[in-house]
Amino acid sequence: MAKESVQALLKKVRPTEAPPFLLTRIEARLRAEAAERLPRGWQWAGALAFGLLLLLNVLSFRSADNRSPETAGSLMSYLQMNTSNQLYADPD
Amino acid sequence: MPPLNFLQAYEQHRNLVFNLCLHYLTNRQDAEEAAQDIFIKIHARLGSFQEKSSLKTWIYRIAVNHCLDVLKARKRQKRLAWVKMALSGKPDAAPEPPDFDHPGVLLEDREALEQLFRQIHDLPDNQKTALILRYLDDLPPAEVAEVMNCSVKAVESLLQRAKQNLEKKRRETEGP
Repeated sequence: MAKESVQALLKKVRPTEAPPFLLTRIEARLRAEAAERLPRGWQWAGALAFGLLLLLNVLSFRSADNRSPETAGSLMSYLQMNTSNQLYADPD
Repeated sequence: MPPLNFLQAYEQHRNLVFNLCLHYLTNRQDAEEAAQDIFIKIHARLGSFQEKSSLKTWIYRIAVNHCLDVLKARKRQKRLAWVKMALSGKPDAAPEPPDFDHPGVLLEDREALEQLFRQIHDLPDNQKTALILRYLDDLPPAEVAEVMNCSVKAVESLLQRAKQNLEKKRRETEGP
C-alpha cells in the first residue's frame, strides 16, 4: 500500500467540540483567584507599612553611623580592652 | 463573574483553543487543562488588548505560546526524571509520556497519526507551529504568518522544511 502524504494524513484529523464544563471550571478558577487576591485597601496599607519600616531603618542607620566611633571607643575603654595588634608577648 | 467581553471571546474561540491544545499536546486531559490556563490568561489580559491585530490572532498567539511552554515543561520534567533515575539507579523512575488521546482521530487512523504526531513533536517549534496552524487548523498562509509574526514566504519555507523533515523521518521509521 502506498504511503499517504503528511498532508493527506493530517486532513483525517477532525475538529472536536470543547468540553461543555470548560467554562464552569474557568469561572471557578477565576472566582478562587479573586478570593485569594487581597483587597486594594489592604495592598495600599501593606505598601505604606513597608515604606515606613524602610524609612525608620534608614533613619536609625544614619543616626547610629554618626556616633559609632565615639561609642566604640568609650566601650573599649570601659571594658579595658587592649587595642594593640601584638597578640603574644615576646619571649625574653 | 467575568465581564461580558470575556464570555463573548470564550464562546467564539473555545473550540479553536481546545483543538489547538489537542494538536500540540495530543492528550484530552492535558488539552483541557491548557485550555483553562489559556482562557485565564485571556481574561487577565483582555483589558490590555489593543486591537493591533484581530482578536482571533491575539488569542492564537496566547494559545500557541502557552502550548509551546507546556511542551517545554514536559521536556524539562523528562530530563529531570532521567537525572533522578540515573542518580537513584531505579529504572522504573523514568517518566511515562502522556497517552495519545486525540478525540478528533478515528480508531482506524490512530496508529498512523500517533506516529505522525510524535514526529511532528520532534520538529523545531516554528516548523511545528506552521504545520499545525496550516494543515490542522486550516488557516490560510497569510493568517499563519500573522499569528507567527513573520512573512508569508517564511511560512511557506517553514512548511516546506517541515514536510521534508517529516517525510525523511517516515522513510527512516517505515523503511523502503
